[in-house]
Amino acid sequence: MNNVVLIANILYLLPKKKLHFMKKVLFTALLALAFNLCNATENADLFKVDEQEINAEFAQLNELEQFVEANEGLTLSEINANNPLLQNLNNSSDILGVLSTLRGEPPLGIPSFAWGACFGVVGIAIVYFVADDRDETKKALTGCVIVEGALLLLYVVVWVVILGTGFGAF
Amino acid sequence: MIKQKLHSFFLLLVFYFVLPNFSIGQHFFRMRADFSIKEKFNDGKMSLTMGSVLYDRTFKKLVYHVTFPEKEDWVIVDTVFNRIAKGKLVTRQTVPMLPSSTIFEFALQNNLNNFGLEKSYYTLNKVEKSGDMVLTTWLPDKRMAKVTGKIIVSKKDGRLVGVAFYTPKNELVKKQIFKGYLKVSGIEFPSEIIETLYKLGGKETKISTFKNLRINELKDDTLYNFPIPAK
Repeated sequence: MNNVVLIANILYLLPKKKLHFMKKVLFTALLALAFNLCNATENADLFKVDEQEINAEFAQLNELEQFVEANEGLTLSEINANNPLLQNLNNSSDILGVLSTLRGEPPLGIPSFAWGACFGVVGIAIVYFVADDRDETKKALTGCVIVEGALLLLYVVVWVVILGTGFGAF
Repeated sequence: MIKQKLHSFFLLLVFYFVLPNFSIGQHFFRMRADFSIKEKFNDGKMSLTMGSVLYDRTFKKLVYHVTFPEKEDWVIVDTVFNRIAKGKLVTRQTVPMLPSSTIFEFALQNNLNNFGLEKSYYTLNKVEKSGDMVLTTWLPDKRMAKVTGKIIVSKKDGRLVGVAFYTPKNELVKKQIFKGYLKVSGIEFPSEIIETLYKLGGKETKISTFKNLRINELKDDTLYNFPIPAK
């Protein structure tokens, strides 16, 4: 409250031109703050889960999971095919789907060799810091060396051809 | 004077060699949990995968002992996925992931709360607070901005709550919500991960659950370092 009084006093004491400018600044700041708050709330809502909807959607799978747990070692082929719990069930696992949940980094999936080959030293650095794995860094280094080596060779060949043609003209 | 200096030097040497041994107690090198993965696809199909998952930082292997739908073992080493059934190698394929870049590794490093983004080509762009949640926005390196978009990470009480992935055009493609943290030997790991994928054909949901979490188990070395048979 004291702050509001203080701001009001400052605005009252300011000359008209400056007052107009200050009003604009304050309005913009308030607008930015409101927009930021709205944005943050919107982002926070992104991580809310409708438990009821999820439970309803996964009722059949939850039941099947309990059934398998109750019958230890039971496999899909051992369950009667007419069992309603198997309705619409795939008979194999989506391996890539399973793995995608566990992966920490964003889903780029670019091999380490390509990182080194395409981005050179920067690629090696990215692999080194992201993968934190010596073997992967080596692959990136190999990619970098091969591409850089090929480019150097091409450069030398081009120069030899240019110089050869130049000397030939003399 | 020299004697005193020698004494100090000797003490320093002792600390140098002895202190790392004390820190061994904080070194988490392997974990194991029972898992189930329930998936619902946008064509109405479903799938259930159950078993146990083991990860060892020394062997750098991620091993899945799948018990349902069929008994088989999946071993991921480097970026190679090996599918083993009845002791025989059935499939070998390259997958876009490394065992050392998974949530298991981050959990063992006690670094799960930032989803490993601190050590990635993403940089922290914005920090916001909404209620009791802290939201951080991460932007990709300029070179990567054409292929991948921002990532929003949400945390509550220092724990990872959710991660949302966007395209460069700012469209939401995937979100993961981490729930019900298990705490074993100082390691925290979510008991449930709800993942939603936003595809052209509609959204797909996947629920991964984990239980019976075991940290630094000293037995079953052969399970953690599961041998891959030759093809």
